[in-house]
Amino acid sequence: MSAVGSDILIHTADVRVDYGDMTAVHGLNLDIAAGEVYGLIGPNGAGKTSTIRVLATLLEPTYGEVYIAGHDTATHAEEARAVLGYMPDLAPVWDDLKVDELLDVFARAYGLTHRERRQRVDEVLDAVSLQNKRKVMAGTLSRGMTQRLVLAKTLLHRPRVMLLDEPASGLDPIARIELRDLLRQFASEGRTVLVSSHILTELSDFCTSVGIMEKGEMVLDGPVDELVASLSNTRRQVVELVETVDVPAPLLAEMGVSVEIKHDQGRTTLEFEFQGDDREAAELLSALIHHGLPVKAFYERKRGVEDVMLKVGAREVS
Amino acid sequence: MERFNVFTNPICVQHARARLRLMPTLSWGLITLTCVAFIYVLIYFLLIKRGEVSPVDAAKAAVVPLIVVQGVLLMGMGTSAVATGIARERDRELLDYHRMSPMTPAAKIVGYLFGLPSREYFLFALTLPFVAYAVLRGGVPLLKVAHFYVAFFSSVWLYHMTGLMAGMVSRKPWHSSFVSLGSVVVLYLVLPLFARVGLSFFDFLTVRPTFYGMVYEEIQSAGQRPNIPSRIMLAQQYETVPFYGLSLNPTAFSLVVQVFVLTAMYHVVRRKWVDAAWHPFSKRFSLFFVFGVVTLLVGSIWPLLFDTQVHDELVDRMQWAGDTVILSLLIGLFFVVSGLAVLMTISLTTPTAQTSRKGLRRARKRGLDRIPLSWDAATSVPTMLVVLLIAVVGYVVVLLAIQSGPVYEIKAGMERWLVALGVLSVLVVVAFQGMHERFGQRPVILGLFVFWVMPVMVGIIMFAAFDAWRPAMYIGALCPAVAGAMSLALLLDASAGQVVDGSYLLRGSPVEDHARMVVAVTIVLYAGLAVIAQGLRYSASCKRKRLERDTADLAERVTPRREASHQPGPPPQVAG
Repeated sequence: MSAVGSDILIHTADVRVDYGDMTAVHGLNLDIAAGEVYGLIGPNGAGKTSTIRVLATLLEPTYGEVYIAGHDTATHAEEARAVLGYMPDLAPVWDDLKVDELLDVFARAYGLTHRERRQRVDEVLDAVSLQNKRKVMAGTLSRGMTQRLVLAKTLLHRPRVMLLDEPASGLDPIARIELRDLLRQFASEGRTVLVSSHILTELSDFCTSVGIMEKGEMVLDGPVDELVASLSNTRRQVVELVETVDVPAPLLAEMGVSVEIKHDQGRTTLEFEFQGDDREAAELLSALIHHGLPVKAFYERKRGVEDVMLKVGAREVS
Repeated sequence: MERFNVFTNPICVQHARARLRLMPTLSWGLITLTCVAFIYVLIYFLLIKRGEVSPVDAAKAAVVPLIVVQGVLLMGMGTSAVATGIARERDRELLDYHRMSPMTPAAKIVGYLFGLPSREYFLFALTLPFVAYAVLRGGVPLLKVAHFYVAFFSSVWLYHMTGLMAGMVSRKPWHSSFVSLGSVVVLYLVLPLFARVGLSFFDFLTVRPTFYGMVYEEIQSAGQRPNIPSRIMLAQQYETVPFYGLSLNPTAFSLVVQVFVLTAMYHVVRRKWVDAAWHPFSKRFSLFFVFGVVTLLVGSIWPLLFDTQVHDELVDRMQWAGDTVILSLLIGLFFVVSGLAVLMTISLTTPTAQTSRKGLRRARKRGLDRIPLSWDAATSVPTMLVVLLIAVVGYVVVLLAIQSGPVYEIKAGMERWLVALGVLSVLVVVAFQGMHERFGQRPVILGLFVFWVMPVMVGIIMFAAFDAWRPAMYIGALCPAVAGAMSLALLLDASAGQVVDGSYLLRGSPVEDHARMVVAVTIVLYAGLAVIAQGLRYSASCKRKRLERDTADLAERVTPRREASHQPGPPPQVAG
């Protein structure tokens, strides 16, 4: 668990959620600190949405404690809601309201004054690049734009905790990059973001911590760096050669037992687990050049959330 | 308080914007203005030119049609707008956004109640100049008009709240308009019919009593067609409302009855706002609800038993029925209304097996041996016992009032049928609760159809087509309503009540002995059923507890192994 002793904005203890005879979430313990972007990963049906709905005070757990920014959601739900921003999966909107009207309604609900409302609506429309659509009926927006509008609504009251359920679904690549930057900026302001997805690449770039759920249980969680570091004491080394060549056997032996060799468009790429340190890597590079191999690039491939996922065996996640 | 101001409440503002867009509003406004102007001008000039009525009387005559238009706008279209609007938002999960906004449930309810029908309020406002002109020109006392509009708006909010409640509790959106329509028909059309046989309080769910009591006489004119006698009677009937020993103003009594029903609906909607999975009634509120219904019921019957003038007025209105028939009807209606309130309460507070299991887990986690009685997951047996006690006390009060009042008396031979009715009702409720908790709502509804409705149908066919009345009666004994009706008939005979021309209902007929037997068979049948149902309920409850305990014990034995690889660490410092 991370950040024990620092400001914890999301805290759950032994949370369980049942739907009839089915247990959706079991024994969930979370501690997410201010400034973290926490990725909740898992296949469909893993319990991500139930977890988020419990945190959003929309679903009463069978039992367990949930604190949002220090407010017990069982007894002080109103206070918790004031600091929460929630964006559901397949976020719906009111078709018969204009974009700025919809935002204005929620700015009112959060108690902003007239001037604050105008200013804040402008700011969030800029943030999600919807300024030019402010007078358009929300029902006519495309799926991606609707997602952006709901994200803008979520940002309106500057929540300390943001809960985003599959926020990138329906977004085009540019909008995804904007979303990523926005969440990074959000976290840099000391707020907490919990974002769920079953698509690894959505989260691997910008999450500071991840939790991997399977069948309602958290199978692994913690800061991404720590999880990656804990994978093994080796590093993933890549060598790119500009020609298709056969690498001499002694060299291959030096690289280890699991060398992956790919020949593609007249080039060769070698990828392998390397157990040595930086000096030994330098020696390996010298040896390659000494044997006359046309080395174009020699680098260590950074490990990410995918490697962690593969390590824990959650292979259903795409 | 700003959240309760309809002009600043965010949800009101939202729906006002959506429903008052320029073009649709202009179109609807034009249609409404045209219709209202047509009605007013037609009546006004038709009566002046053709009916040789003074302009003052012609203006008076236009008041009622204009009020009807206002009723159609707010009560009809407004209720529909509320029911479908809230159901659509719930279905599309838009309600979750407002659930999460930091407003109190009361402010959110106010927002939907006044925001969803905002167009209908606007159209209503367009009719006001016509009504105002008719009232002022006709010289109708403004105080009485104000009384009427207090009851009118109270009824409108009651209707709208019915729509809101239907939208919140229905499982599917299309159910909501069905449930809403059904509730409106039952609450405001069917139940008020009971007023004709003495249970006046149902009539006060509508605007009718205040209209006849306060306004009707004022808008009658000398030059119009003669007053219809039944309407004059209505006007006299509603001038004051007898309730226990009191004579209340019809507007005040309307408010009392409507606020009671509004409170019940608000309770349901509020609970559904907080958590859609909660039961519509809390266990505590259900006690208050049944107490309120029984209090209103006894209060309406009371003057008929003690005040000979009130009683005589009812006898005059019900010329087809004799004194003793009215008594039997009153007792029968007491059982129908209080019984429905009790059954509805039990149905709304009885947990499903899954809810019970969830409650057991939660209670166990909190170190409790059993589920606290106030939780939704707790058995509804204690609730059933208390609501039964309330209803029985109400019944005993009515019996004592019959005995001590100047109008009726309990004659020898009546007691056994009065007791039989009470015992049968209690047994039916106990059996219903046991079955409901053991098997759930749907199987019970199916069971009611198979064992209550079908035997009556079969009995009717056997009696009508084959003249086999004996087997028909015994098959009908499966349905407690049949035995109840026979008890009432025997009660009527025992009270020496002659129905028509000196003849009795059952006395002396070949059916008489079988009727007694049918009542006895039904009581024995439901006594057995009550024991079996409660036994099944208890055994299922014990099994559930045992299963949960075993599962929890197993989980506790497994958990240490799991925690060894997943240390939660010390308690965190939680940010404030």
